[in-house]
Amino acid sequence: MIIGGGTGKHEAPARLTHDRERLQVLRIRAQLARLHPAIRFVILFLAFLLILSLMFSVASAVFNPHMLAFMALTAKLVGGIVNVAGIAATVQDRYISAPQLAVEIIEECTGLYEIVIFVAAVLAYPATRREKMIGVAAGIILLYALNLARMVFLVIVGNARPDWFEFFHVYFWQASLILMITSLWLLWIVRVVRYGTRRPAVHP
Amino acid sequence: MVRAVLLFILKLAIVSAALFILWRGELPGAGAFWPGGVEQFWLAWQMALLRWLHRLLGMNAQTFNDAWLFARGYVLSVVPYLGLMIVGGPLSLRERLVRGLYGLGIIALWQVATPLVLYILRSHYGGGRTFFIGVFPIFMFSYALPFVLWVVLSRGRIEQWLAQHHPPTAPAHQT
Repeated sequence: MIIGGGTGKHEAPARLTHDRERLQVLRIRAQLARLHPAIRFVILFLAFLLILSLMFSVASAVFNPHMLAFMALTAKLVGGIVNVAGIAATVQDRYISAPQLAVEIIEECTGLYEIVIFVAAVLAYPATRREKMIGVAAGIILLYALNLARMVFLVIVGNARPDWFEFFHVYFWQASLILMITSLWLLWIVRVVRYGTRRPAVHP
Repeated sequence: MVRAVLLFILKLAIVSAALFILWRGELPGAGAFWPGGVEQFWLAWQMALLRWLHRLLGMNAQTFNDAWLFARGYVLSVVPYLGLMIVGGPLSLRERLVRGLYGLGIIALWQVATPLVLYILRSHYGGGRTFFIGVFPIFMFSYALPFVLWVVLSRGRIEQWLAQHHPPTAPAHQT
């Protein structure tokens, strides 16, 4: 511990506090390092998930008009793809109207929840900063694209068979979230982390 | 290796679809072959336990009902969790069963605890912005719970499973 070097009256106690905080961080890191890799991953994952979720919910409330615009953009993209697929759908704000079906794009339909969970999983995994940045950037793009595909599929199925819509809607809500996150996380580990130049010492 | 992951995705999609059909007791297009499916039993014991807790703790009926309905829409973990436990990782049948049951127990506890936590938050903050900011991490945890349980209960097996399909490349300076 380094104390001194400062000339001010309050500098030494401030530095002492800073050193204590650093020591505390090092202690936490040492304790984490002693844990089973899977448990360490989960602890870090939950910590990142909590931080990102709080940031997201605050940002969503503060930038509500932007969030609404993003939902409208998602609706426009889904409507556009559905039109290309041969279904005459109209989009107004966040609402998509197909001949047999009308849906509203809400926050859950934007893929942002999946992105928050995926980013927490990437950040918690032992990898280099570069590997994590690749994972986060690719994950955001791919998860948004997969989510669009999910929405397009739902609108096409719901328009063709309105009685099937509820089943697929709930199924996709339950299964696709975990399917998309787990698949992309494993693919990132396999393609980016394991084939990278440096292999982390421990994995979950 | 990538092929193994893609195969995992395909298996998970098929298994979770089959589980979901059993869970709901219905096939799209064919209607309900078992009205209520497995879900009715899962919800029945939860409702019974929550009603008992509600009476025991003297909770406000309307607020409690709101919290329960609100939580129900977000707490959906059983099907994806079972899908992951069936498909993911080289676990023996016994390990799958035992660990699968542990996980189901944790999910059950979480699903009972969530409406109670929501009730407390709703009683304190009403239905305003603070309430929604506070409950969002709870829901995100609920969504991620099958993934978390899969990682914890497979302890080390995921890495073993990945290594089985392709050994990791050695760092350049070691070759």
